[in-house]
Amino acid sequence: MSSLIETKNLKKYFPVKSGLFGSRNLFVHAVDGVDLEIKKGETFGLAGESGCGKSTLGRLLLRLLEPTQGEIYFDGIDLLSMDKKQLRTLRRRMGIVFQDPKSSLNPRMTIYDILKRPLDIHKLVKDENEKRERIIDMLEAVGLTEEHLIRYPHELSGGQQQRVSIARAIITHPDFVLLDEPTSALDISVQAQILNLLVRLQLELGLTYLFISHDISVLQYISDRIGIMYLGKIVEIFNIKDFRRGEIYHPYTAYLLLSTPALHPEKRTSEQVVLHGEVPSPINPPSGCRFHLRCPFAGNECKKSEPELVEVKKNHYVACYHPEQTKEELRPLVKEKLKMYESVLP
Amino acid sequence: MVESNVNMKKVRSESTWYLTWLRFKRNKLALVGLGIIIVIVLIAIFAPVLAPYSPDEQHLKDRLQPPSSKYLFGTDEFGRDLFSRVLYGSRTALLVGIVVVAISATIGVTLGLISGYFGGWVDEIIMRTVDIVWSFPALILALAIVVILGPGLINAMIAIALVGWASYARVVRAETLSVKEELFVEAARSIGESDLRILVSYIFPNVLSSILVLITYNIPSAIITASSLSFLGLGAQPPSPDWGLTIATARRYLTLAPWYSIFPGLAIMLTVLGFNFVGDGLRDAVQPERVG
Repeated sequence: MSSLIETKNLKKYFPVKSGLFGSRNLFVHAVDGVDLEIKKGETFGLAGESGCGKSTLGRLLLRLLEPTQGEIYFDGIDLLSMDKKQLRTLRRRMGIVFQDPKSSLNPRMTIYDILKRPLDIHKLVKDENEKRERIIDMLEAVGLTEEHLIRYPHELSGGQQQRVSIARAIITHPDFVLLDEPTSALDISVQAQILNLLVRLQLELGLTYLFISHDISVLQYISDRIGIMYLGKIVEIFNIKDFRRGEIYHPYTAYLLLSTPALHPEKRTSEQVVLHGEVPSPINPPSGCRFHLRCPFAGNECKKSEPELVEVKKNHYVACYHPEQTKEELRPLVKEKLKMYESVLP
Repeated sequence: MVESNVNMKKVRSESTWYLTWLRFKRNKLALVGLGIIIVIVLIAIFAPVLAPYSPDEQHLKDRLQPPSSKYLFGTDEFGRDLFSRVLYGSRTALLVGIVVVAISATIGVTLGLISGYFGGWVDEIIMRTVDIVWSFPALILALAIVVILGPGLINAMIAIALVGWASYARVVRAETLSVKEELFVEAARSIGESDLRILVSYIFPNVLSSILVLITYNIPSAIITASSLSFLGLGAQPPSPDWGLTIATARRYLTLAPWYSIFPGLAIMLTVLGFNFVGDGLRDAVQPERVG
């Protein structure tokens, strides 16, 4: 498979004003050197705690934010060399769905107008009747009906609003859709519906997804590959197969997984493993490995220099000095946790 | 889909404006205000039908008459019927309100949108200009501009508008700053909308309700300022039946003919009150959708 999106050493620093006149120049290192490749047709899951920079990374990929440094290629096109007009034309090929369905839709536009805009901007359909038909087809594809056309967003439920957002993102038949926690604001039952809808649409339209979530249990259901982000860096990238086998090489990945609440707390056999300490400030990331302050395996080398993302086995990348130790020691716990997922898998 | 069955019965699609009207309707005082405004507008339109005399018709034998069945509000020093003049005065008042608001809202809203959306040095220049305009008392600044332009109703309106745009600019800028953080603006960019289109179709409709509230407060204050300028001899010129001008001339006969100044004064008060009631009601009706 060839890659649809590729980044090289991508960085985004946000300036923080401090002091009375903003004299001291500090920066939040939201994304701090990310090399990422998303292949055509796959679903790449991106996980991490709040504030680790995963949403910022997603926006950089669509150039909704300007990176501080680095390169982005979209289907071989250098995204950063494009001017405003070229970029707007290219936007036909990318879509985005946000976490908050209510705020994603313009409250003063009807559903019809919301879905018509992408077609108008990219002049995809000339004839008004055809336009209407395409919009209705799209609405039905996401599980809504013609009568929703004249409605305003506030008249729909959260799940329905999210369906409209999805319809808006894919009505131009894009190649790539960024899903920024599209299910986190929804009820569990609606979450499942939306996930299934996304899977179906991907099969029908051959979409490539970047699915951002803080919830590994959602990601492992929908993703082909998963990247784990910590403090602006990707610390591990793996296949879903490795994950299901419990082959995890980075301690942070393991703890992220283990920290998800137990499905049947009364059946819990071992003690809940929780990660101690706070996420360090992204304004002043720790020296060496960013995770060493919270890592049980941290040695001297982890404090001194930062580990590179290296391939530990085929298609499995990890940025850690102790991958084997992590894998062996945490595997029993990880496996036990994974059993829980198997029991709920469809 | 299970979800979509909920909306099966045919209900009319409710725009947010319709919901705002439902909330507005519940406010009694606002409805009274709306009633006053409608009456004044009707008076302005049908003044020639309603007025018993022409506003300029002099009855030199009946000068400074107290209110009677012949002259409902009495007469002035030329024997002109004050009732007719007060009715006709509503035309000047509304004209001032509409023209001033049209000019100042157009300037202020445009600058406020640009300022809030683009930020940077554009924002800095516009907002510092607003600061300068606001550092003068409104009437004094308007006075200074009229002195430069020369007295007269049209110049007075221009002067008031040149002072009034600043509040639109500031409110619209603040609203724009908050609306542009909404995800639907980012979504608009993600589907390839241009900046102009985002401003016109996405941000403007969402700050419009605040602008409407501001307009209903701005109309009465424009009327008062215009009346004040007329009172000072810099606005409407005789023989205009303008309320402010009438009060100014009535001042000389305050002890001799108190009704002369009372009725135009009452007219100003009622008009201002009506608009303010509506403004309050509108403000309360518009805000809940921000939260809920």
